[in-house]
Amino acid sequence: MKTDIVIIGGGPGGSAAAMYLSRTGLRVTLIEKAQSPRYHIGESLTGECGNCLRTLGLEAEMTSRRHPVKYGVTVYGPRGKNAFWVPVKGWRPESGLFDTHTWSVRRSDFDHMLFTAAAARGVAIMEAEAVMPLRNGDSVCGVRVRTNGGAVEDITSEVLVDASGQGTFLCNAGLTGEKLRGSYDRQAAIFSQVVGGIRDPGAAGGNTLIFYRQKHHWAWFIPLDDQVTSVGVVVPADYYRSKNESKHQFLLRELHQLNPELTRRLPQIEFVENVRGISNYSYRISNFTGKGFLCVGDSHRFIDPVFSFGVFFAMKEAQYAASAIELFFADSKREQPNPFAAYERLCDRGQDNVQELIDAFWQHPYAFKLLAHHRYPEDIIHMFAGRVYEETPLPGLLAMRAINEQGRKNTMAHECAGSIG
Amino acid sequence: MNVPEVLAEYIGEVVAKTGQPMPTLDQPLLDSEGGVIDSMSMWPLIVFIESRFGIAIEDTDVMQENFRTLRVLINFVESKLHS
Repeated sequence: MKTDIVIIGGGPGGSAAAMYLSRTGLRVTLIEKAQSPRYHIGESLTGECGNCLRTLGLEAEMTSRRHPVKYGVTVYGPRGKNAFWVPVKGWRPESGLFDTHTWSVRRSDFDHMLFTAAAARGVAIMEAEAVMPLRNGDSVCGVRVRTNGGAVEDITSEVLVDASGQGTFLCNAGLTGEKLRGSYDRQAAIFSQVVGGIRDPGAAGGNTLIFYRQKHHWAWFIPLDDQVTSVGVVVPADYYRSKNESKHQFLLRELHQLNPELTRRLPQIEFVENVRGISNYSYRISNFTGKGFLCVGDSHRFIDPVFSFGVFFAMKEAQYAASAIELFFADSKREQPNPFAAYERLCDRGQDNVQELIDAFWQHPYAFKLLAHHRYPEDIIHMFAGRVYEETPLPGLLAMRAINEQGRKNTMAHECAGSIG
Repeated sequence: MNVPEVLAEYIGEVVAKTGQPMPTLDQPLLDSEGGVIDSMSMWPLIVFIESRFGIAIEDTDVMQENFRTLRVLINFVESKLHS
């Protein structure tokens, strides 16, 4: 079979890329192996992620599906004090910030909605598992798949989009750079869903709540519908093991003890889902684009999920990828060694900038709060409104970068002094 | 200006509002280590230091390393005054 673009993976990145590309008139094939939508965490969408859904014409459907409307995030400090509120805002270059909202979603429903919407827009869907990329030297010219019926088939393409998520399909096949582990390492997430959690009153009831205990130890509270709330804790994996508890016991105890404000929000805990656990770590893959291929979202990078940027990156990069691919097809010569190099730089810049924000949050909590509350409060809101791709960074972001840099210098000086002394 | 006295007096006032005992020169100041200064009281402390001593606290100065104990903080302010 022959197509213009083949996309591996029907999560938010793959489906969004398929929808953006379906507007170009190019032939798009979307490959997904799972037959029914799967359970997934990553349920809180950022403001700009909501905007991606609007640009895809999905706002009415999001509303009719009654996903909880999210106006912002409250991050509670240790002992339930010092709450830090980040409102959801949109941003336009000509008029600045404006009020808007986004959603939190049950991922199985949400992913299915996007996948179905892609099919409805003329994207060819193939239920199959990607087995290996088809190569021509360093370039990619398609993919070999195994259909759910067991047949093996080769699909040739001009461009392959890897949206395989943490499966990191192209990296595993050795086409990209290596997978390097990041600073968010050896973490465990234990999670489930509850009924009866106490939400903020009125229209604020759909907001996401984050509870901070200490470095790399936090919990989420994300409304999924009128009744059900997703709850989970993220802790260092060593801490989880040291407790020697079942996942169920562990989650129950942590939800009671982690933060007094969370305890107040969950007066009684009734799980309505299995308690699940995953171990997680951040990674980045370099050289994730080349002749005939590019990666979007988790297939090239996964960063600490504390600020809910995961689905945003998948969908935003899908949008950028679609533009890059459209340009590639418009270029009759196609002589560039890597037609997607600019796309790769853009993705790296966005993820690097959010990484700075997260590093400052964990490593320098006092400085972070000072910058976020007092010195550059608007810039943080801007970043959540999607302004992480600009060539000239916002002053607040530069300040975050400076404190992270100072922190690294202090650590090095400390280590040097230690080794001399 | 007597930096140690001025800072000790300020911390004393913060402590008085919380009912915690006054830290010694080498006991932790920051709440992450059991002290009295949390992220909310950090901002007033910085505003106080800037106005009282006429120095500018840069973004990169607000590291835990500079606020860990009263002694550390005194050294930090004195080094700023002399720079």
